Amino acid sequence: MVTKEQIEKIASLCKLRYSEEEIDQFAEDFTQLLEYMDKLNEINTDGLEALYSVNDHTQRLREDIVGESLEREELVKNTREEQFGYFKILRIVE
Amino acid sequence: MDIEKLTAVETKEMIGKKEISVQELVESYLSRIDSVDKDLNAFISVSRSEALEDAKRLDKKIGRGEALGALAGLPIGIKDNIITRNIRTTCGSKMLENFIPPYDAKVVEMIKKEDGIILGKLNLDEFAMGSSTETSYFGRTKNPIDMERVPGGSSGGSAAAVKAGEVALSLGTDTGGSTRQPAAFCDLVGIKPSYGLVSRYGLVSLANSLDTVGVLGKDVRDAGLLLSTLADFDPMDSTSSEKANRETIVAALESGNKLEDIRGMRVALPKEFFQVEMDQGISREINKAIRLLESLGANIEEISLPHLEYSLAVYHIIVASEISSNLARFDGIRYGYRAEEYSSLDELYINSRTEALGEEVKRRIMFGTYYLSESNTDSHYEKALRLRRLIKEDFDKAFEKFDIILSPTSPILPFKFGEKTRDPLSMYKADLFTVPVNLGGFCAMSLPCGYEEGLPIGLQIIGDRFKDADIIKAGLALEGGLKNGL
Repeated sequence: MVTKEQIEKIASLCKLRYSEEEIDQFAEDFTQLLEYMDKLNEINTDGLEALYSVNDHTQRLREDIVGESLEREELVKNTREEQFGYFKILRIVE
Repeated sequence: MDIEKLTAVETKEMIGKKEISVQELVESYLSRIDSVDKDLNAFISVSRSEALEDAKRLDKKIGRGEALGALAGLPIGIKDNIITRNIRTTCGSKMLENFIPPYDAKVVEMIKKEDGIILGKLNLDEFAMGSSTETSYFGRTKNPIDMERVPGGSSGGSAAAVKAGEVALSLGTDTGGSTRQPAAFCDLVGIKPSYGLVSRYGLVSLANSLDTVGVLGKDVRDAGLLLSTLADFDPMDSTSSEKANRETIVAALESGNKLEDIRGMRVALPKEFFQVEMDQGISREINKAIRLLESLGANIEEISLPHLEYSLAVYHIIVASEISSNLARFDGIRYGYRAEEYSSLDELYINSRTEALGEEVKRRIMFGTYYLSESNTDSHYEKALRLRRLIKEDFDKAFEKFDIILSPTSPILPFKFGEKTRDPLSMYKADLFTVPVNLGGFCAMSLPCGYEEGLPIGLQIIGDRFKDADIIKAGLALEGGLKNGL
């Protein structure tokens, strides 16, 4: 059972806003889905290692060599608010 | 002659023999797009002027007698979650409606280097989350075989465009079946390569431990041709494998449909796959294909993959968890949609994400965040990853004794619009046979193998990791047999 308060907490972690009715719907959907996921508890997985990646290799390191880079103007052209070649946001430090 | 009815391999030959110029070819495809895409909606963006410029440049190269790339002159479409320099890349989302990437994905760079001509960007379920191409912000794509039905998804635009003759080849992506299932729904060949064979650099991540770039074509040779140009190690993708190499794939394509390749091939049929309730006609056509392989000299045996029944739940948890992490980057600051109104930084994030992400995308972010939250991670996310190991080991064991594993691509036939959207669990079931392949990083192909009342049925041929050449060999032989009415 997932409560309304839990759903509200998750939505705030996700930086998403939902209406009262949508939160109620989610509580129902979560409960239903988690019942379905209960199936996984049929299998004992104690002692098994989690499989994060199917690759044999771990993270490769490369030499730190100066290569081609992207132009600053190209990078900021996709933001909606730009100023002096920077991404503009609100003043967050008083 | 309708040039768009030719296969990519035949078209390439015509260009090589100078029977048609690249410009004529590209113009013919662009006019095909003009006449059918208004209704079909396979494209989000058509890069007309760039394509015509590329065509003219290539014609000059041909005129000078220079060596040509492996994809010389072929009109190709790119799924719109693979970034293209200076061509808008939307992921089918309002979030990226105006996003113009400053660089090319590795696979796009490789296509250009091999002289392929990119005609534009193809529709998909928003951020590739779906199995029907109904959730795109840019409208749904129709199935060219029956315009009242979905083309499958999430690479629905990639499949519809090839089927309708708008492009010769296309790139899709495949996280749980998103290339193979639309290939099956549109009567095409679709290949999901082994994880690590093709670079993911510049592919917008959905679930990065499962995502692969896939290829679609009219037949095995066409899809194989595109795959063979993309299989390579890429130092820019940390999950790219040094085992990635194209030689075995090229060799399999060059040797062609050889019966000796099939004689003695060890083929496994997992009984769990065949116990699933399926739409009418699917098991009949799959069984015909199996009997054909047997008559060609393959050794067929039934096997058991005992943990298969957990794959959908395991897949759902891993995908949602990785989505919640990967989509955190869409914050409205550096690129993508930014809300008009906000009075704090937090509100900027919340308003931008709430206004610009679609329902299904937000749902999955919510579920994933739940699975990853402190008190649940061991019982859900980690649990799913431990079961993922068991599922992969089932396959590993099978591949010790067998060369390929067969199943239907999908337990359902192409369905009508809206038929499954009301019941997400039944939509997820469309991926039942395809998700285990991604969980283990294996390779698989969907091959057309028959019809039920005019609707196509796909056979899935699964191969071991980095044995992508094996599924191409089996695909060539089966395709040859099916075409000859064996």
